[in-house]
Amino acid sequence: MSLCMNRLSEERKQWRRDHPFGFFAKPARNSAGMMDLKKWEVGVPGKEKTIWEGGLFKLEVTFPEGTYPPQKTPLASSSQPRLTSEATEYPTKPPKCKFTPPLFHPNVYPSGTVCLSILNEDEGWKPAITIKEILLGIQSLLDEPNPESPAQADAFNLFKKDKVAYEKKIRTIVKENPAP
Amino acid sequence: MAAPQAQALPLALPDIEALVKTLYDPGQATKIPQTEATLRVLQRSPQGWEIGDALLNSADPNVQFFGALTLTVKVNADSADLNEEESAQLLSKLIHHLVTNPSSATATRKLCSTLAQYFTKPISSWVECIRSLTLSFALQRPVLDDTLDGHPSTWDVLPPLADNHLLTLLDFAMNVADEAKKLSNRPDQRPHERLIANVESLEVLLQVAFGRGIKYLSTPPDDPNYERLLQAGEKLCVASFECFLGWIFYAQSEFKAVPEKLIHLRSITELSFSCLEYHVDDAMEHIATILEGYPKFFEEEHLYMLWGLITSQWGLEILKNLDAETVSLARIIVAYGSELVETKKLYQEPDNGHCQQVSSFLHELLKYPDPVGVEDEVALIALDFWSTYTSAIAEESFLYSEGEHPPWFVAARSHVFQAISELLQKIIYPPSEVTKTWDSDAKKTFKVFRMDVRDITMEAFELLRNELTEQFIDFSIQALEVKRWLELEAGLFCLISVADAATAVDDKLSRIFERPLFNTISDNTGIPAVTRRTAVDLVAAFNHFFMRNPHFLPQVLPFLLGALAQPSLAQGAAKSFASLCSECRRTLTGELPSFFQMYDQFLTYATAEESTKSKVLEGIAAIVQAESSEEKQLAGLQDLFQYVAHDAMQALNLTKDGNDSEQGLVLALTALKCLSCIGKALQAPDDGVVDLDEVANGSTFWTRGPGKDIQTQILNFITYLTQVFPANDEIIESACNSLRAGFKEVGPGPFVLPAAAAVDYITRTTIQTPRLTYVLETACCWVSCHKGSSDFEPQSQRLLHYDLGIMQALQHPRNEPEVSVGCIELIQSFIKQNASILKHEHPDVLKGTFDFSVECIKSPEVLPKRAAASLWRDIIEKTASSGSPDQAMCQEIVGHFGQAVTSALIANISGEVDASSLEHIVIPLRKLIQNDRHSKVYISSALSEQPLLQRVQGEEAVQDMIRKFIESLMRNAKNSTAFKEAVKTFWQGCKQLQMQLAPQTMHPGHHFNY
Repeated sequence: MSLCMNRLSEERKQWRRDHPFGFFAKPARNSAGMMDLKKWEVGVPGKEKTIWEGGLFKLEVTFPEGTYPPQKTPLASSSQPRLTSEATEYPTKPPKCKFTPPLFHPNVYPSGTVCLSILNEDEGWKPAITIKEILLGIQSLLDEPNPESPAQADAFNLFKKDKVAYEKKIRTIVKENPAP
Repeated sequence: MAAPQAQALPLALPDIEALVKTLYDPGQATKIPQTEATLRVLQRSPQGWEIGDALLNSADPNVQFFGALTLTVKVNADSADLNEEESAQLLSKLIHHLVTNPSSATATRKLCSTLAQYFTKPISSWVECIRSLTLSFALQRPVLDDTLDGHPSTWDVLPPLADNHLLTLLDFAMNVADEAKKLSNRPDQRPHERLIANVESLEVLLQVAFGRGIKYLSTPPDDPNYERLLQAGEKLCVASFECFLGWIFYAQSEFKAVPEKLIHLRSITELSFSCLEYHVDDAMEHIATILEGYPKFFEEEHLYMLWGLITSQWGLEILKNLDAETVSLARIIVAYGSELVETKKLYQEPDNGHCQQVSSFLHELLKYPDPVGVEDEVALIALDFWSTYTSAIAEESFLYSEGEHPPWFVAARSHVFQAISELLQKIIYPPSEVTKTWDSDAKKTFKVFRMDVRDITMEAFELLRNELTEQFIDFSIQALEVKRWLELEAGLFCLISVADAATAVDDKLSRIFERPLFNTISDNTGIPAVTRRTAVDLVAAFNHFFMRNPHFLPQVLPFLLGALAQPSLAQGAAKSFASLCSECRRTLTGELPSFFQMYDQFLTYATAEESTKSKVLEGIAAIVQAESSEEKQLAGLQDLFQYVAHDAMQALNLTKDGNDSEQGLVLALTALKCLSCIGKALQAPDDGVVDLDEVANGSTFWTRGPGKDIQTQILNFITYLTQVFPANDEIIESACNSLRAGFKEVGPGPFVLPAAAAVDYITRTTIQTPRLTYVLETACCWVSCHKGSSDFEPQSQRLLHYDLGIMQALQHPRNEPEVSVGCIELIQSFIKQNASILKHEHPDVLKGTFDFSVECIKSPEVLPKRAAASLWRDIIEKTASSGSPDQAMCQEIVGHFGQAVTSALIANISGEVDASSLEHIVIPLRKLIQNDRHSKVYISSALSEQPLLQRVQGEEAVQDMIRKFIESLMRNAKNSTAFKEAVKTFWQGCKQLQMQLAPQTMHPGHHFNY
């Protein structure tokens, strides 16, 4: 098993053993019903005592697959150091977390992708960060938007200009995405 | 003593002692912070060593403790300054105090930890610490490494030592292992080498201490000293076990190079097991901790011995009564079982009698009748095991194809099945008399347990497939028949957990849904709320089943409408109602009249508010959409619009009279939300058959025929309500959504309004309109959906002028960065869809528009910057799209604004932009070089204008950097990675220049993630 797959199955075990209340995270199934460890479906609940409380927000987490640089001639490989895909795959690179459907939030791109420093390869990502930590990070981000990294104009604008309206909007979103 | 230089003490000793005493004096609370500060200074002073030493000589236990603490502080902070001789002196002093002096337990403990910390410091060369201390106790004076040889063996010296000396030795030995463990992963192996050399002495210490403790514990009750010995025995065993545990985990991390030494610890295992039968405090917990954390420490014979104990009278007694000891023993059993799962024995050897017994004990742990959490904590632990077991089997099963499973698989599968059945019993809610008494923690524990059971069930489904589904169905049916509502709830809950994965079970599911499940729940008011709620969840979870089997809907949908009455169920019920109606619309047209009736009923409930009303109307509207003719649709819509009109009229009346404008707003919101939801429901379904004839002929039923009134009404709702409530963000959002509902429709329809309608609305908004960002987004949608419309060009021009008007009102992107993004994106939509419409614009309009986009690139605001960069990428790309009617227009735009855009991009690259926006800036620049022959001139000219670079014009190195930059841009335009790299290098160079030149004038660092 590759480093990436090893790590993912370990993450899955750890998650099953211990995960924070109200969250879920599981590898997605493809159309044939097979589990795909590189793509997870996860749910992040709003934190207690915040306007996000009572909501459960679904995301798709995609773990980058290693890409092998094309080898020109198969024969040359013996004389050259073996090329590995580890540099381009998880956990060297962070997973991509995308709200489905896209979430109204200042730090979520219109596509749904989350903008969070620990998920940025050039910023806070470290291979030691676990799925649990990522999801807790996203949960914190919900109620503590980072005004330094706007990702969508609509939510960021309402957040900046009209907190009351923003909070009301969030409550509606929570109502539409209730936690079970 | 070890003070490097003898200096006078800053305070006389008696004064220091007095200060220490005030710390513990209850009357001096206000002085404490000050006293602490003084003492801290004294501790850290060069005389700290002496002070600590002197205080340890005091008779006052508090002062002694403080003396020991002072030496700890010194050892940790200042011991590196000691030379070899001073270090040896310090050790000698510490041992001296430990063996001769302290009368107080706290000072002794502190000294033990000081000595342990000393041992691990680089200045320490102490090796045989345990033997050294043992002899020091025996002789009541410090005996160090160099004189150990002349004394009898530790085996001879230890047994005569007093109990409290043994306890101190154990305390030290535990501390030193813990301290050394903190040093793992450090390159210096010396402390470990020194400590590992003690393992033989430690073995003797543990043998003697455990042995003596157990001897005391086995004192016959008629012994006159029975009570005292029992206590002393307990104390010795507890301390021995803690020390043993510390060394086991130290060995786990540091004995890798010397595995043969483990034998000295393993020899103690049997003694430690004896503590179990004497019920020594924490013994079970410790054994569980070892089994969980380092199961390989135990050898097979020990494991069998342990299992022997568990199945002995002692173990069985504990398992019989559910109490704290049962929880601890359950931990051991679970860890024991988990280890057998780890080695695969437990499931791969189903005929092994031992394994069978272990499995049956683990099943038993799930069978306590008491409710989980409050009384039964064992189930929480056992759940962990069955989770591990199920995962292990599920993972193994992936290795085999269907039908090729190994022989053991059948038995393993049936254990999973049995465990799920046992767990199903455990998740049944206790009666409300019991749950009523639960506090929030207890409720949460139970809820988490149920969630965990749901997770295991999902996993188990991989193995058991429909056998499991059937089990849940049977369980639920049985509960329904005997009217055990809480059991029914548990059955349905489990059924929900497999809903997503269960396929091809429709026939089995029909067995339960053919029964009057929903009617029974609707009609029977005595059914617990939780059962009702789970039934509502069940509908949502089996949405697809009902879509495939719409004949059940006449039972399900009224149930949902009934559930709307209950506040806690209303949202979920409304949502399920909407989605089922939407998906099964064609089969439901016959139900419309009864649904309207039920809607009237629903309106009398307190739960009828914006979100529930809009969802239910959305559901009904979907059925209206499925009506076979436009006339029938019209009739349905007229009914639906009555409700909307009612709310809208009331909203206007309440507000107009100033009676209750707040309630007016609520109703206005409700009306528009309902309108937009109806609009959404009326969209033709994706799988719907598009009547191409109708599309081609372009039925005018809704625009000019009998349906025209509906369109007029839609526009009236939007117009009036947005006029009365122009400042409400949600009103604007719902108005936009109502307009957008028809944008993407292929054929005609009630919400497919004339192209001008949305433009009329959009152009009425101004810079003051809330959610203007959303309005602009709506405008973008309009552009991409209406490009085929005959009215496209004139309406687009209106939008373009409106866009320019907003930009002019903004003056500068900085004033409203997010609105600026909307403005830029709207221009981008025109460029994408039909750039040629710009051809007829007055040059001033174009200048205003594109100048604004250049300002956006220059602005430090990230979002407008990225949006404008993306716009220019599109424009420049189109200059190369040969044959496209837009090519000439875009070439003309670049001809006019190429230099300005390039300058703005280059200003960013010359150190202005933040790191994360840099990659957005790179793209249009690269496109420009690829597509525009003037690009080099633009870039050179832009670089020469950069103030930063102008300041260092004379420097050759900088000129060189600029020249190289231009060259590598030109050379690498075809290679995206190399191009990015070239830009990044130059950008970094400029950043450095900025720092060197004028750190104070630097742009405040914008730091963005993406």
